[in-house]
Amino acid sequence: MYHYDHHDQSFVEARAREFRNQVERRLAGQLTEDEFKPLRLQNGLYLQLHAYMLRVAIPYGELNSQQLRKLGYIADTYDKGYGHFTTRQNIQFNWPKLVDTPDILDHLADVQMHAIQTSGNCIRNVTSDPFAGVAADEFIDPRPVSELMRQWSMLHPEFAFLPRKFKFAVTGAAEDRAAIKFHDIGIWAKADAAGEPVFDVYVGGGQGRTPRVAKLFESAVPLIELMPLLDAMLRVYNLHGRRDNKYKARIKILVEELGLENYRDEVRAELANIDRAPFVSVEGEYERICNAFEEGTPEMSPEEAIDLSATTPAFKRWVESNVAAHRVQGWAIAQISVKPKGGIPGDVTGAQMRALADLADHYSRGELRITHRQNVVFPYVQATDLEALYQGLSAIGLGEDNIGEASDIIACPGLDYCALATARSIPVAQELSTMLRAREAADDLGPISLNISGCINACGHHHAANIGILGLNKAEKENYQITLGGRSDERASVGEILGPGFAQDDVPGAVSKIIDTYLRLRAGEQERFPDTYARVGKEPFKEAVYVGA
Amino acid sequence: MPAALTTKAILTANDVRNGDVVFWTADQVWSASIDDALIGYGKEETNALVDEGARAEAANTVVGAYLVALQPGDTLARIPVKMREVRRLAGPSIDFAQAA
Repeated sequence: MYHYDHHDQSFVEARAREFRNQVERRLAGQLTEDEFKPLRLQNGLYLQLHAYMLRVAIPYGELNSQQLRKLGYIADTYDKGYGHFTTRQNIQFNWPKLVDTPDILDHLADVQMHAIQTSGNCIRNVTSDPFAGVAADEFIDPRPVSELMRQWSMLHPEFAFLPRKFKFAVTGAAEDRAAIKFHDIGIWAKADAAGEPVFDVYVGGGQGRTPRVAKLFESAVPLIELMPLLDAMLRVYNLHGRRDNKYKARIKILVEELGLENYRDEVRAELANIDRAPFVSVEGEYERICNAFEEGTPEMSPEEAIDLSATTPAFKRWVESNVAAHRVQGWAIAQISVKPKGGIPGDVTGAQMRALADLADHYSRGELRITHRQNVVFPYVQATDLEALYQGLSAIGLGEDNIGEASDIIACPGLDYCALATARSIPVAQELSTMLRAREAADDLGPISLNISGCINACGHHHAANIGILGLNKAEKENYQITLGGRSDERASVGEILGPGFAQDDVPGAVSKIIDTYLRLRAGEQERFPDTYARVGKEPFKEAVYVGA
Repeated sequence: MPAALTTKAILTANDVRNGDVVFWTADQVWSASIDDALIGYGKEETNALVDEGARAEAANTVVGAYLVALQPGDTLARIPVKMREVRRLAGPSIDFAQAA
């Protein structure tokens, strides 16, 4: 993996010192909350429903074992013994004390981590494919360009106060595992005929109260043009994006109001006049970053394919569900589900973090990834080690074999933690998980995505799910609206509202009927949920759920 | 700080140093227990709570002070009108993290 150089390291240390001083001034009464709030938010410190919350950046979801151990230490020392992996591949701590946050930031800086730009109207953590660098279907490793963008966007003076927050995602594989079309700007790295990287750039995607699938802005952009183009796209957004209404301030609204062609014309005009001096070293820097990633990649000699037929049924099922094809024969990508039956999606204890770090050292060359589906990936596992890894994971409660299944639920913190939420997400996810694990044990439901958001801001990505659930406040009672047919892959689409919402207790029954309808109508076991939905439409599902209910 | 309520309310905030949810009490201190919360009735008393919250914020004791409207009826019951406040006062409805 990539390691910070001395410049980055001294920067995060200096930033931690700066925040310590700001906290001291706040506690001494030299800064009011109004003065302090933007400073704490710029360091990822929110005030949530019950307490402060610290969101720590995990650039493109990549972590090493030392960093995960440190996160476990922070969870146990400064929080209530756990952390929560988010849909932006970050981690949140739900109970830090303000007085402790300077120490926490020092600990993070010790392992090249920080919480900068995990809040506010700036460019947020760049997300990417959790299989980056090892996926069998990869054209180009998306991490070097993600790192280039991290360096470009970090404390970019012009983009520190955008009209609204701004989210990038990058993939470089045939299958989009980074949901790039649900981002403000999504980048799809490919290789041209000479094997050089080129980038398809999508703009105007997003979720929230106005869900939109991003539109193709330009295809096959060469590396030398990519960073000036992104700069110009941001400059036009910064200039013309609305600042009068936060609900209309994202770039998706600007692109829609201007029209894609007009937005493109504005960007091209900007690009024609842009100062290219800051970008002259992009190619050299990209090469340096590529080399840094390569140096950090373990030797992986092709190995014999192994026969798993003689092993236990539980292990075989875990392999079928959780192991993905690696680019090197005899190696495997192991996906670790953080969705145990009846558990809290994305929550891991400090003890689990330490144990995962040990397992990563033993079986994944000390490296792991966090996924936007709130799971963990070990990218460098020898196939011969899979069974031992599975046993190790099972021993710490992380051996669930449900990756990509309906019980692999994305859920935001919801009204159990979040100050913006209108309903709880986690208890609904827990009830659904219990019901769905029982059904998955009895039947092959196939891959289904099920996501839950506790408010219209859609942090739980409900719009992008095959089955989406949105928690609302209806006359001071929690009410859950269901959407169907969304998907976040390369064929991205926004789910459609099924009909009137449900009380919490009625959600599992409604979801069960939806799954029954899918199983009854699918054209063979290979037809996936969104394809069945696109073919048969909403009515059969609506009839199953509402008629006679 | 929101304007005063004219019915029945308590004053809540978060402790500046540790972020804990706290309530203003009849003893003129902040308590972590809603059972200790001083109930203000009518415009005059709730206005006084608003002033207390502003003073505490200025004194750097708490952050985000605001009134929580309570359901009318039993004068000693402290049941918020809004679901959000019911959840905030009760704390998370779930156990933390996974059972390893």
